[in-house]
Amino acid sequence: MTIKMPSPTNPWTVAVFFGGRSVEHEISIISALQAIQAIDTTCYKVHPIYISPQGHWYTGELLLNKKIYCNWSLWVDKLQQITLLPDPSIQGFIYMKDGHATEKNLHVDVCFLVFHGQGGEDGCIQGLLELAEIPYTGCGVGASAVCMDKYICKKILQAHEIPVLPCIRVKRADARKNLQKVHEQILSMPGFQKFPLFIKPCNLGSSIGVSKATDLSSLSAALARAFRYDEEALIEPCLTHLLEINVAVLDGDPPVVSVVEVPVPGSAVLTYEDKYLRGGGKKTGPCEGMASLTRMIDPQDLDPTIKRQVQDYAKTIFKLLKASGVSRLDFMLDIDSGKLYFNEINTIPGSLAFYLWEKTTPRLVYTEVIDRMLKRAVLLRQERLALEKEIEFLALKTSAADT
Amino acid sequence: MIVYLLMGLQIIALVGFGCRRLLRYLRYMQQDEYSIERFLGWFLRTRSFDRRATFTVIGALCLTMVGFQNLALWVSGTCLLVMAIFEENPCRIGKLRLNLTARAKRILGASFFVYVTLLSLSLYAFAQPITTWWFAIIGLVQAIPLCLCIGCFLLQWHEKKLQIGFQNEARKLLQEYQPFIIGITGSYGKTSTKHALGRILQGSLGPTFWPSKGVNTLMGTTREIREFLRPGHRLAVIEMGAYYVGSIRKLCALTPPQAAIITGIGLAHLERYKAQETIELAKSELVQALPKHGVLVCNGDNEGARRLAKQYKTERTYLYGFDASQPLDCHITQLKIMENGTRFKINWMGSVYDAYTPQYGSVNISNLAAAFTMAVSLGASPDYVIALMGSLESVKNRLEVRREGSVTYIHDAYNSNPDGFKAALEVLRDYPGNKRFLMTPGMIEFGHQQAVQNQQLAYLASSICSHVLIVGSTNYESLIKGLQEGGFLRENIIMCRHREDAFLKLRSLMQEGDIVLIENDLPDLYEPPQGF
Repeated sequence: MTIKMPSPTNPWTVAVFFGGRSVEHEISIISALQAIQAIDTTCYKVHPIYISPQGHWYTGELLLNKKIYCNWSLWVDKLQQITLLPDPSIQGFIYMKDGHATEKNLHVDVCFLVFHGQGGEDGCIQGLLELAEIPYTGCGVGASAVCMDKYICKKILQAHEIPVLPCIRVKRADARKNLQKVHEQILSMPGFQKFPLFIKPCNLGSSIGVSKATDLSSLSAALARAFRYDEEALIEPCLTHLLEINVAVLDGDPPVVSVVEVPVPGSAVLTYEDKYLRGGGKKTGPCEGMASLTRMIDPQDLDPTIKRQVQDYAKTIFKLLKASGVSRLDFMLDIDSGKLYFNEINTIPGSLAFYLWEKTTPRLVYTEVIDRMLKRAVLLRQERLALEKEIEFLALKTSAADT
Repeated sequence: MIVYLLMGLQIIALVGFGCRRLLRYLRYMQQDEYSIERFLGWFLRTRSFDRRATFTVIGALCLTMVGFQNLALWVSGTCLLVMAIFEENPCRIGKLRLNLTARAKRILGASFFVYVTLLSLSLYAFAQPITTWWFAIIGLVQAIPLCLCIGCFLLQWHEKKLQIGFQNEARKLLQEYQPFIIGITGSYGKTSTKHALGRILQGSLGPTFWPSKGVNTLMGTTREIREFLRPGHRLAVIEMGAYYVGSIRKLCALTPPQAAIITGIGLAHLERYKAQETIELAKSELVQALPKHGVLVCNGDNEGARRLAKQYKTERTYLYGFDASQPLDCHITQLKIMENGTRFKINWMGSVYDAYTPQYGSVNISNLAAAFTMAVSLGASPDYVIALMGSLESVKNRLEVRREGSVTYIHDAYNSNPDGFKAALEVLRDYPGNKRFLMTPGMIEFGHQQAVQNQQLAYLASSICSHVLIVGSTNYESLIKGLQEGGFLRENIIMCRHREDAFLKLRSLMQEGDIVLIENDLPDLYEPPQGF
């Protein structure tokens, strides 16, 4: 059966999902509002669905106004509470009143996921949507979970001979019990005997909880900082002279790869402030999320071989990890040795990396990127629906016959 | 016919004006925690009587007396309408903006009803000689603050009933989830200690609940518990503010503590308590609520706290501090201020731990020592607690160091006690930089001690600062006196009308590498009223 594509006469209803119970909550709001502005409203009817930091779900036109989020208590009563049940027969959301489900439904054709971090980018929401059999953009449950866990992701890629920096994973429970022992465990590993070291939460993005340890005291503080956000921390050796190189991949048949970018950090480490608060060097004006980072897109003085290498690796990794939608892959170039390392993959990148597609040849505007993602999501759902989920009750019937 | 139309305009204008003006006064009443007595005190102290509407009506009265009755009605109606439209919106303007909570809306509704009733009664005056009408209107606009008080008074019983209901809900949640409750009180450092301890316990022992920002009242805590306490919370850190004798007892009845921290007993709110003994009595209610086996952690550097530790000693009582002239369980030494934080050593149970924190100032380190002592005595690993200290950011506006371009700002806007002020001056003195600026309105709520305390700190500032910007007139005289006693040059003292004025003057004076200490920011209640 062919899918009836969206058009002005047959617009698709899109639920743009954002917010969530993650420290990257506000970045998700910025990314979502940018995406909503870019969606082609002649072919798509947009419904914003916001998950508050407390975990309540809301919908309503007011959610398109950036100002309400900072004065949430003044506006919350004017929004409609909504929920999603894992029942495939509903094919949408259920409106709530006074904490109870109503008879009123909101049918959706596809969900556009713009979460960052835990609960939304790690497979949780994806799992719920899978059960509800509603198409959604981006990676599936498995790929989302694997890409979110930096340690597992690196180990899988290492097994496929993708160059990654060595890493160690330490647990919060162990550090709470005996921090000295954890120090010894880290410093006894080959390649980890010397400071500086890089410490980050295993399952988080946006540089939150990331720090550089230069001695034992700062290692303790860095571990404690990472453990505020995650039960596991990842430790990596620190490259002294490095260049970060990022690239985006858009799912398709075959996947498309964007131009590369080189972010310009304000200090030695690319921080949350660099990514979201510097406003591209502008002191005033609205925050544009990840799009506001100071960066060099497709820098002319970067060796074309390295650019090509990054793009090839990105495409391979995207396929290996079974990613979908748009992902941004971050690499590190060791300037001293000339070696390239995969750093991490963001399956729902900040601002959905639209700024890279606009500079790619052939150029892709944000509206088109979203259009492709939404269509691809419905197509993949169709593919999955074609899988058989039931067989006859053979085992039960046999045992019933025996008794 | 025209007279009736003009009268209609008058009524519409008066309804609009009354509503907007009530909203504006409500902001101040909210900052006074809906206390009619305190609101009226503010109103009389700042003489926030209506002037604009009254002068307009007097103008209209003059016009009427010279025979232009309709013109007077038209002009005054239009002017009042314009004033209603352009009246300051308290939800958008001010340091502490009006938060239109359900309670605020109820009070606004009730007082608006009172106002409209008075307006309806004033209509009788219209049938009298027209001059009577103008006098009635003057009385009406001047009575707006009273309408607010009456509205608030009428709702008192209803509010009380609602509050008891909310408290019962919170109590039920606490009984169901059974978190281990730690109460914190003191004249200063409560909020910083609460945040530090909350984070440290959450990181080292498990899910911890602590009310946001500086919430420390019975109803504030009730609200936070109802909204944010979850079944998984194993520990709860409750900040307990004492506003009168008995207020902590009420909080302890809601959140019975199993452990307590006394950060120190000083002069804060002396204006309300009249005597320091009464402050100590009010704070002691937390310690009295502890069970025998409870954990008590007191500031050993503070006489009052030490007295309470001795008087109400539990099976596990600990003292922390810098001054080892008397026995301390947690002794802080070798404090060193650096560009990116503070390094110090903690002596605990015979072991010495090297500690680092991105926070500044001896008061903050003292608060961290309180949190360390409590967390470790509850079973956390000392090494891990020290590690957590290194990951704690400064609490906003509490000795928070921010670099803006080439200038460093030390924000200490919430602090208003002598120890905090002194510690902030020490940070200003020791932090690497060029010229040192102090911007402050001085400290308030110290009763008869206020002038002396401000004078003493100004004297200390005279040896550290290159320029002092005095904000407002509240403590102007005592600050000047202290600075001059210290031989501070008169030309380096800059008088500023308000905070914005101070920032403007500061920008014109500062150069690369300079440091600014912003010490204390008075609430709107202490600012000169902005044209009523």
